[in-house]
Amino acid sequence: MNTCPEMSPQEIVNLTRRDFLANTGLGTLAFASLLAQDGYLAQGATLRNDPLAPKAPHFTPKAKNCILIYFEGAPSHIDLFDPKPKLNEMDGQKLPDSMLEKVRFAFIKKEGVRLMGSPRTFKKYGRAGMDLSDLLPHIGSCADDIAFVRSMTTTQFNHHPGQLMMNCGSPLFGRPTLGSWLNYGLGNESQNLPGYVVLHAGRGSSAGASAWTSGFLPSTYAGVLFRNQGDPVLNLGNPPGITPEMQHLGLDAIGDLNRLRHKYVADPEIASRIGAYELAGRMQAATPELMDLSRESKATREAYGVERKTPTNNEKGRGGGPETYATFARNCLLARRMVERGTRFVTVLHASWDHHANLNVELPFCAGMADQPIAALLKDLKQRGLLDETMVIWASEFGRTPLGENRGGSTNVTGRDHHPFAFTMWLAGGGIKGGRVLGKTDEIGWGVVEDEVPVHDLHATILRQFGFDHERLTYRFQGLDFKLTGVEGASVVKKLVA
Amino acid sequence: MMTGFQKTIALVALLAAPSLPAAETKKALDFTKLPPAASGAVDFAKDIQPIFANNCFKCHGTEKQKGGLRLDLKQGALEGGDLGAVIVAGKATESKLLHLVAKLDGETQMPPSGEGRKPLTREQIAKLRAWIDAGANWPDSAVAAAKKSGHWAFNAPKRPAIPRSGDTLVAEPKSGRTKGDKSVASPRNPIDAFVLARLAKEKIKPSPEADRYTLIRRLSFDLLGLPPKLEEVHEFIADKSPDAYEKLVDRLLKSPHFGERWGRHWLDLARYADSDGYEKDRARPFAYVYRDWVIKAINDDLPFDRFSILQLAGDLLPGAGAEEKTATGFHRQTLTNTEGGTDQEEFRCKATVDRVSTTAAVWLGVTMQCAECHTHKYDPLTQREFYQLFAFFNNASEKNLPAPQPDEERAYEAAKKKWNTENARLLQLRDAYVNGAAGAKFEQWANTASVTAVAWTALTPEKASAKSGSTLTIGKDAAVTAGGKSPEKETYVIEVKPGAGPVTGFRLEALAEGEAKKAGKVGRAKDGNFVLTKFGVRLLLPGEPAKDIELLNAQADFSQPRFEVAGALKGLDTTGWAVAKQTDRSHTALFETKEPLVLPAGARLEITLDHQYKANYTLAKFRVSATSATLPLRLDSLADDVALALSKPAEKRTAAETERLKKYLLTQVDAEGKKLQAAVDENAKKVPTAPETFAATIAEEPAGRVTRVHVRGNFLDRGAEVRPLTPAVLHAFKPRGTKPDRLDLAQWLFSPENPLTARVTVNHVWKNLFGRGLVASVDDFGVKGEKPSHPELLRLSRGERVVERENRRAEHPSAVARGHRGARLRELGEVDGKPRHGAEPARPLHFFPAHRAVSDADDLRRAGLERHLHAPRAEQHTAPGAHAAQRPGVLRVRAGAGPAHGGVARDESHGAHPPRLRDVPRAPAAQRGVERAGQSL
Repeated sequence: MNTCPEMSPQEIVNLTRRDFLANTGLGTLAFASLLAQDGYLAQGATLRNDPLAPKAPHFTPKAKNCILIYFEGAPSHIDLFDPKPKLNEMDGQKLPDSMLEKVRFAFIKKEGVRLMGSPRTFKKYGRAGMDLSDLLPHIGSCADDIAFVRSMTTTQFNHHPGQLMMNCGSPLFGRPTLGSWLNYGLGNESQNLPGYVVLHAGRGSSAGASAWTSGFLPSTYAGVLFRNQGDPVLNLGNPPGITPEMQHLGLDAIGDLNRLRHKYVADPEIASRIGAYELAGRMQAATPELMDLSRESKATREAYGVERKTPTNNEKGRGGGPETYATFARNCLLARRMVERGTRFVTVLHASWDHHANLNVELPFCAGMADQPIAALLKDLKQRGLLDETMVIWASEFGRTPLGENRGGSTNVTGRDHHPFAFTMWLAGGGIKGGRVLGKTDEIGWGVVEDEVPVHDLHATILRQFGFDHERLTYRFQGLDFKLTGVEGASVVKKLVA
Repeated sequence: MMTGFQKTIALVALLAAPSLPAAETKKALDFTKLPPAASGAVDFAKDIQPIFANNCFKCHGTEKQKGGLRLDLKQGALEGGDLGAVIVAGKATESKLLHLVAKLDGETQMPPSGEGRKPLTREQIAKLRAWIDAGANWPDSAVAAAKKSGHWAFNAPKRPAIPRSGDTLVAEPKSGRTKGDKSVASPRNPIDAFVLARLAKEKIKPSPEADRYTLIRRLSFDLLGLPPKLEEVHEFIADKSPDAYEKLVDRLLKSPHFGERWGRHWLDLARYADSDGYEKDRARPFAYVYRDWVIKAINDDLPFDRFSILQLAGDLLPGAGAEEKTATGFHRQTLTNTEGGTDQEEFRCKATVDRVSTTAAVWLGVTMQCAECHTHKYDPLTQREFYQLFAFFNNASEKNLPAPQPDEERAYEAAKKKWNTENARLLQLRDAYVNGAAGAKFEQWANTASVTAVAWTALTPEKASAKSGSTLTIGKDAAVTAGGKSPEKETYVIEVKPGAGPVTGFRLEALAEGEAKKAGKVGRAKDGNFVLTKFGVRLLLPGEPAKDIELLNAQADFSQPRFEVAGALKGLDTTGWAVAKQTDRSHTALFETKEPLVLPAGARLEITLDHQYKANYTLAKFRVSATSATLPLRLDSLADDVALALSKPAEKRTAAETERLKKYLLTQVDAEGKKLQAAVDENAKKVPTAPETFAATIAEEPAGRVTRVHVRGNFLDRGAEVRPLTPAVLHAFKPRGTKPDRLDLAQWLFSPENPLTARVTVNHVWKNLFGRGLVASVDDFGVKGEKPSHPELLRLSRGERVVERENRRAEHPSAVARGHRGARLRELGEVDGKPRHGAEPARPLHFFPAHRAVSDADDLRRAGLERHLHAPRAEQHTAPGAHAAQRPGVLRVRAGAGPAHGGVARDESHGAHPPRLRDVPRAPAAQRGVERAGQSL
């Protein structure tokens, strides 16, 4: 990591000072002694000199941890969150050409495209009387803790650029994600686990590592992907032929070299590296305990549905294999366990919401996977008093068209195309005002008519809850003080925050 | 932008109101306000330039270029601003400059009021009008009068005076050494002289010379990225000659690993990766062709100017060959978005933007990318200038050239030879049997065999046409061959006149005998496949509308999974009948008619073969036949001629028919014959394929695109047209002809007047050797970049030069490294194990090599890996996880290539951190570029 050129003189002085402290008796424990202590650092007993040491934000934060539930592919807002009777009435009708003229679609052919109503039934939930589709009854039962935003908009209409936009505030590669920014700004409370963990179910992530990249921030702020099966992190064991003693000797030698080098050059990337080695050592001990769900009560496990069977009528569906339902439920429960143990940011991913076709089969499958565990997570967090400080976000890159997708050659219209002009997301916990519905779309769910929330405004709002002025959480790179919220200006959505 | 628009249109839809967003109304210009042109001759230097200087330069001059316009330079003024030209020579009334200074629209005036500024007088406007009307003559001599940027980096450096060692040497040699030991205290070259001078100023003693063990270790890591072998250390220690150090440097520079190590640095600048980036992040299996070119170029000590020009414009050099073209792979390292539903023009523009930004960063050290959407906020670079550079790259097309590597070709030739021998042997065995031992068997069989064959009548088309431009040729055997243009999607239509019928079914033969280019393949797609999305038959009767004939029960001798033949009756463009893995042989499909089709006299059938899948998945050659056989039809393997021959009594068969039957029996019925034939067939599957290796290159499109400014960086919002041109703040651009191209740009970079490229390049080398550049922001020499920590040393690189070769403008890394042979800076660096700071703590007086080499070396040792030069590409030896991180669930472990390492041959993804054995020290390639280069090793 080439932070040196980007560091201000003050930063270098600070590093040196911290380095001084670290090396005069209070400092980092040597790796060998760490291992000697059952792989743990005594809680709270050390002064950490790594870049993930906890830091205070700009002002008192409402939220400390974040669970981002990200559904790649874009769930249909019209079929889940935003009922449109008018659209149902207009089912099969054309849109005026003037409306389609300048719009770009991913797959829809403008010629002959028609509006498509939704077969879903909606019911009112909670104080705000939030309409939710029959696919989300469990989430409905948590409506009073949730703020729904029906007026999200984004600038991108292809998945990957859209995912980058939602995760990083820019459709371009190379920017840090929200999780990286928060770890950069706040550090990691956990001694034994990464500050930023990524869990996934089903087919994996379509955005890949760019959904948890640290971009230009030091790599220490990048998300760590946990696997679904076997060891959550690979290579924590020693390679064949390397005895534990050899491993210790090698790591000690590298640690010594790194510390030596760090003394000279004060390069924070070296500190990252020392931190990474030490964290890896502690994780060897801490992860089995974390992943062991048998310590949870039966009631809890059932509430999340960690032993749920995936419906078999969708074996050929795109939602994922037979383990998908159980894995997603387990991930929700793991997210809570991680947050409890101090992990700052957990992303729970599922990638199969891109319903260009077969919407009425695929969406129930996906929603069926999501609904119960997410509601269980919210209730579990609340019951443990964690919801006050833990923000839970339902996110995706965009919504889906009120138009049926008439992809060329296809005789049946059974799905919807990408739609960046209006979609729904929701937030709960971390000081977000629950039981609210923000924003309004027009009568067919096409455009926002009230309280538009662009992605940058959403990011500004989330950062505020974590104690940051989004204008001041910056990192200098290529001569520019980069912000999650870009240069165009963004504002906190006041109506969302308590 | 979209959302506002969306609101509008949603409103339109719902209210059905025919309202339109109010167009930006253009105020009418009131020309009566324009003073008449001044009479008499107008002299630019005397009359016009002072007007600009006194009234305009503050916002449109050296330091600021509002709206992308500068009026202090001829080029800038006459080209115009981000929104287009402001001076139309000869036509004052059409010149925006005059509209604005005279406030013709009644609203906007230049210069704007405030801060003591005054509008131009009528007299001044009259002079401007006269000057423009007379052709806006701007003598080149007037350029000198304009003030250039005062920023150090945009001005040519002056060679510094080299401190004389006697004046500055204050350090006492370490005890135990004699005063005469010059290796410690006296400078060996100008760099030493500056270092010693500075140390003296800071009152710091120079370090003693490092010991030999340390020296060889440092040199090996720096130059090769590898630790020295034990015997090499001993050899160096034992070498008592005074030039042992120089000899060691020379030896290391000759090592092939030198190119790998320094190629790695360059590949970081080139944002090299083995994958596409974006959602799919598909592998680029032959990316190594460019990578190996870089390594070889460095090992061959290609001069840096040529090294650069080849990479930027090798394809445009006269007589450019494979070598020159391969080098242009530099600008093929951009991202490619293969996600469905993308607008490819958008991502072509993004790649072009990347090419501009990377070129500017790597060779000029300026943050040109800031000007993609707006004129640069700090440096004198306008948005218009960004698109002028964009114009150089806008006609670049991505071309893949076959590039089998010599070892691959050798392996292919050897395999082919071996295969031919084996094939000949198997054929000989089979034929010997057919012609020998089997005679008696045949007699018996041919007289008794009774095969119920379906009789098919081949339908010779009367007409054959293709809707999207392929040419169809009807052969004597009733087969139709496609040729000519190979469109993405295609529909073949043939018209046939069958017999009276009744027709109970149709047979379609996809023949692996297409035109020469795709000989032996059934389809015209790159992989030899086809996807038949619809097989349709219509009955044509004179004077009646065409009638669809319903077909069902599709069957085929082979269909590839998920592309079953039944799909050919559905007419979707997402599926159909295809035969992947068996594209090298003919296939047959049958379709039954729902009811036997009786054809009245004069009836014709129109048969449509539709290919709506994509990417040229069209049939290469086909034949349609009809039958009246009883249903259900069955596929049989009998060729028509065999069936015919068998249906005759033995005595009525011709000699040829007998021969045909004989071959049929012995190769397809008789057990022993079948075995021998199977061996031939089996072997045929193993025929070696020619290497598919290609070099990703850049070529110039013959029909040039017009380049326009992308307003606010939006590729859909095209502004003023621009020509290829270099930024005005830098040295003059002298193209070879009237249509400047990339080669002109590349040569401009190496013009002797260029103040940047040499310094930027030396700074990279410095950074790679010392861990920090003389200018710490290696990619930003602009106003907001770091100031040089040792300006004299940076100037030295231009003046005294670190290299010996006088004929080069900027230096290739190896040359610089060679120049370092005498430099004792590194040895002077570490004194007593403490970092040393001067008065200013943020500016260390010396630097240390970056640390990654150590970790790499450790990786090597632990994994027992060898470094391979020119390994095709590395498999993911990091075990599941590294790339699984990129796309969990999609594990991309490729078999074949042996483990390779060394920071060069590892698989690199545009999207994910590179796989490492221990940790993740480097960013994904896509975000690397210059500013990241320093962190590699």
